[in-house]
Amino acid sequence: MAPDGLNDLLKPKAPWLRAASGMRKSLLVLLTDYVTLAYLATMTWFALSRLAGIQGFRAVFGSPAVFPWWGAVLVLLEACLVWESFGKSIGMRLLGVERVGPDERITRRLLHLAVRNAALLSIVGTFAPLWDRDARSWASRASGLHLGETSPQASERIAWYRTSWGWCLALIIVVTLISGVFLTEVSFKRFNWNAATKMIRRLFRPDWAGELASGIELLLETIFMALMATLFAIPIAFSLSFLAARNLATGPWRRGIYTILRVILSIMRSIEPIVWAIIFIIIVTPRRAPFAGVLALWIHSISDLTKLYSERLESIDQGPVEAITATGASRLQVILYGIVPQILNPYLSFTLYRWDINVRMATVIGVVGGGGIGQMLYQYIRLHYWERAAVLIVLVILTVWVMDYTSSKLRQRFEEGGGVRAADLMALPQVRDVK
Amino acid sequence: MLPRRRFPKTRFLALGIDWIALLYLSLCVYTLINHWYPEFVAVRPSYKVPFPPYAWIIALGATLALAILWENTGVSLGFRALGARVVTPEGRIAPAHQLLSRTAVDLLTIPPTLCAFAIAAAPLAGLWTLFRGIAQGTGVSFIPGVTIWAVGPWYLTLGYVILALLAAALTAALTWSMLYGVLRAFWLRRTGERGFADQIAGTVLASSLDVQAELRTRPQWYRTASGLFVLLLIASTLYVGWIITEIDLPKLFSRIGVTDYLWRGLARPNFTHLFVQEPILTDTIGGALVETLFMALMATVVGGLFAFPLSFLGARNLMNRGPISYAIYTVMRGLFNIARSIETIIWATIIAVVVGWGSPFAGVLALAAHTVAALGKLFSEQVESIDPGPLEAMRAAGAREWQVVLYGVIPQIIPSYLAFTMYRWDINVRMSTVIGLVGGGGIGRMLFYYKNDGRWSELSAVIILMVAIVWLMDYTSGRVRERIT
Amino acid sequence: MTTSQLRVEEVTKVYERGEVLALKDVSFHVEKGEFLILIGLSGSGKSTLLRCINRLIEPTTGKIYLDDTDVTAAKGAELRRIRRKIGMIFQQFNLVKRSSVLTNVLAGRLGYAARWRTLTGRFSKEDLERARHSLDRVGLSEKIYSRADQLSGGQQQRVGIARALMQEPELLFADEPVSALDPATSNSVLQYLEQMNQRDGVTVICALHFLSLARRYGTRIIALKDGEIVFEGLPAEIDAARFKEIYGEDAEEVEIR
Repeated sequence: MAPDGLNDLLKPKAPWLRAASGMRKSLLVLLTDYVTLAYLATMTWFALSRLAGIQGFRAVFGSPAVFPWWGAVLVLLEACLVWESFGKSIGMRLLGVERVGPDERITRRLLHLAVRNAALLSIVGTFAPLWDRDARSWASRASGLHLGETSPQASERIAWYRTSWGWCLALIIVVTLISGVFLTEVSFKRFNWNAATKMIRRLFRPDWAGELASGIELLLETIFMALMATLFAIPIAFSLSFLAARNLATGPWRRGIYTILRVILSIMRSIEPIVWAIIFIIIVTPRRAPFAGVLALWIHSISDLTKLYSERLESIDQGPVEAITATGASRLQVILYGIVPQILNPYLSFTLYRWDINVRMATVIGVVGGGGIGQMLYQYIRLHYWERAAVLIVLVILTVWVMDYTSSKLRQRFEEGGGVRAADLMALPQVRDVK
Repeated sequence: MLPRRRFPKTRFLALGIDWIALLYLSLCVYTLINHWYPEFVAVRPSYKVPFPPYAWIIALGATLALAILWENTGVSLGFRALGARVVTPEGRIAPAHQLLSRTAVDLLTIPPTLCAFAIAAAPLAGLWTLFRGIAQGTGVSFIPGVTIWAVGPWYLTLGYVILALLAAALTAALTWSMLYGVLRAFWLRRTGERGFADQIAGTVLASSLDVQAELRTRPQWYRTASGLFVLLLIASTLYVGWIITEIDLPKLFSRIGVTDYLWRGLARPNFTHLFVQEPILTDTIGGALVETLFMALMATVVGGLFAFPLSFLGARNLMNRGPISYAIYTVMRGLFNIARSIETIIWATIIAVVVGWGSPFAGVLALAAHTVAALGKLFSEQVESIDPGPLEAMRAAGAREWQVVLYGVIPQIIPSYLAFTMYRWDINVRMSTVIGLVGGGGIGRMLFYYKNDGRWSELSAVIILMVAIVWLMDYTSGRVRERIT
Repeated sequence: MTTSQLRVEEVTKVYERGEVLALKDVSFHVEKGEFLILIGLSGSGKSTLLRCINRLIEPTTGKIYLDDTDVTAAKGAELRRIRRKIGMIFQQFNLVKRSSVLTNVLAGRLGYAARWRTLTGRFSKEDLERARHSLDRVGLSEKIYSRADQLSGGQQQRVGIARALMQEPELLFADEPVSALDPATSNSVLQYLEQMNQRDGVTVICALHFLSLARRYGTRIIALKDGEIVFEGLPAEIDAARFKEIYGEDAEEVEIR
């Protein structure tokens, strides 16, 4: 059997499988629409009430107990069903389906709507397709309309402002932005212009004499914090990356480790280094502690580096691996000779990138007491010692800028030609040509 | 392939690498000696040691001499990094007498050259002092006893400035042309591009690949002097770093046992204040979360909207119509870099002073400031890498400049702009969760409050929620970016 | 009657839970010193067959015997010992692009060298000499320290051959070695294979696209179609009718000079 027929072979044959996937799709569409309409309703209410100057839920609706929650839910649900029967809802647009049928008569649509309501109310109706030989829902049987895939050409033809989902999306954006303005308390009245001008004037008069020496010292501490965190994270991340790469995780044990590792690492990665620093400060010492900063950056770097490394591992060229296995090498030798040479340069590039980010993070981790230049800077700002703060700010800008520039230049070298020797680029004379 | 560079750059670059490496090593050694012997004050190590100023000159000079000596053994760290080597013209390893003569020539020419360059920079230093004096409104005195008051009639100040500029330009031009002329005459005498020292000594600086193939050798990295040197550098960096960052593992392990109240609290998250108001903060965790998400959203939208037009000003290929536009480009790029180098949290600390501690508006402004700079840089890099073909075609057909931008530039960059904005939104969500610690709004405020109060169970609840949003945001933005590009 | 060096018995390879049959009951023998050529359309199973023999792909059913050792049942160290007797070169050369030519060639000796030596990259002097000798033989001595991806296609394939030579193999598998090369280079690469076959007595099994190359270099031809053997015999025996049988009704023969 030729492999071209593979797609047909892989489509589920049994009617209940087809019914289940169809049912799942229509429920997903319903869920998306419901969430969208609920969000739209809440945000619109919020925006309108704030625009009218009314604050708070109670002012508009009275107490939560009185508010007809069930009514709201049912109204929204009905709105979703109507939308889906009469047009292209946003759920349908996102999932790439639309309602297809013999014609577009109103009666057909009303019938579809009515039967759908009946099906949902009697829960059985929702699951009916599972037992149906033709895998069609009650509503589609009655009205002849069913959910089908959108053909690629059709969806591009109608401009967004002529569709219902387009208007819905536009409304969502508008309402979100208005609510956002209120939620984030944007108010230029609170902006203390006086203090701002004074502050800026003082910021441009840095107190070099007093602060430069201790500033440089703190800077060294910051840079070394980032360096230590990165250096100590490298060996751990390197080893873990082999366990966290899907293409190397063959067999039940390795698969299990892979899944667990991936989950733990993403959780670790989602916690910002500053939060880690809070925890480590308590452990290490309540006082000024660059050590806590190093630990916080170290933990975050391990998770980030492992993720970057393992993603790169998943996209290596399998050819050399095959070739070296074919020579009779053991698994470790295959990794060392087939995989590692391919990944060393990209790994170096990722490490530089991470070091760059760590330096940035190290400059701010002091605000929670993690040592480095951030702590002094935070205190100076809170105490309004703008002249001294200016010195530290300039130092931070210089360091981060230089770090950024060098790391991006070096990374370019590693990623493109990577390893092409500079001698070739600099056109040094060939040994045989020189007399 | 990158364009071919000329020979002098290899020499300077290699010398630079060697010199800096040796200087760094000596600083590490100095710090370590300082650490072991009690110049070193109780609470934390002080590397702010009273250090006679001329010691810097000695250090610089000694390391320079060492670097030159090292280079003339044939292959040093700089040479190895750049893939070059000092050999005879036939490709053999150079004999000792040739290397010695090369060393002598180098020692005699390189230090004076550098000094000459330093002298040429002197007028610039004077100019700097003058400007600073003007800015601070104090007088400037170059010669003891004679003070120039820069705070006088404006034409006088202007006159001083012009005079100083002319002086600086003249000195610099003279010195540089002298040096360059002399050097070039000697160095590039023949098209062989051999250095002055090489021509006198009879050696040549060649690509080490050829040499290795000729000699059929290529020692392993750990057998070369440079390889061992790099190991030494890494080892000393680790040691010095260990000391500077006050790493203290025994303390860590002992304290883990002591702080069990922390672990117990963290292990039992307390979600009661999710929908119930906190008495002092008058906010719920749920409300703070919503505030946080909207902060990130608004900041990204505002940042993206501002960055869009600014990015065109920061793109070299659109800004090369003349000196003014080039100046705008440089300033724009400079501003982007500066604003990007100041982390969002620092921005937030500063802005919170102006807007009011704890207001989410401060957070939005801080995030937006950093976002505009970051997106501006990303966007302008994108504009710089567009395909000039369609633009050329449009100009040839007679379109005006703004039409070219609208129909040629913009369609090429929209997908990546959207992808970058999504990426930035993702990062902003991460940042907005912690920005409350320093006075932005959102959930960081509660974090700060719980941390100060020592309420670890609530803290752990907040952390779990933060992880959930960030993780969700990561996932969605990853998928959307896949769909866009 | 001497037993054959390689016996393949009723090997079947099935993918996708029974939906795709890559190989269907393939059986044949290979004598020592033969230059066997596998021909057939793309997707007819040539590459799969080669990889099943050294178990880069696991055959679903069937048995394979190499010098009376059961390859299909071998595991771990025994499988590695069998693999090092079989050299293999590939259509895409499969060199480690970032490593030097020397390191790529030395990788061929991994099945023989002591574990600790290979882990630290310090191969023995004999291995280094062998590597130089192999590279001399394929004419690439002056490229010994160059990066593998700086060579042309033909040069890379010759490095692959040098790597295979390092194994001092009894068999050599070539999976469409010249499909990515121009005609002149194709001939020179196949000549190296022929040299190995005639001078060193290495049994060569080579999968090829072009019948003219097969006719020039092969001592025996096996043709596959949709996973089954449709022809087995001497190159001269393939006439027009047989050709259409193998390649299909619309195929025409292309000369490679």
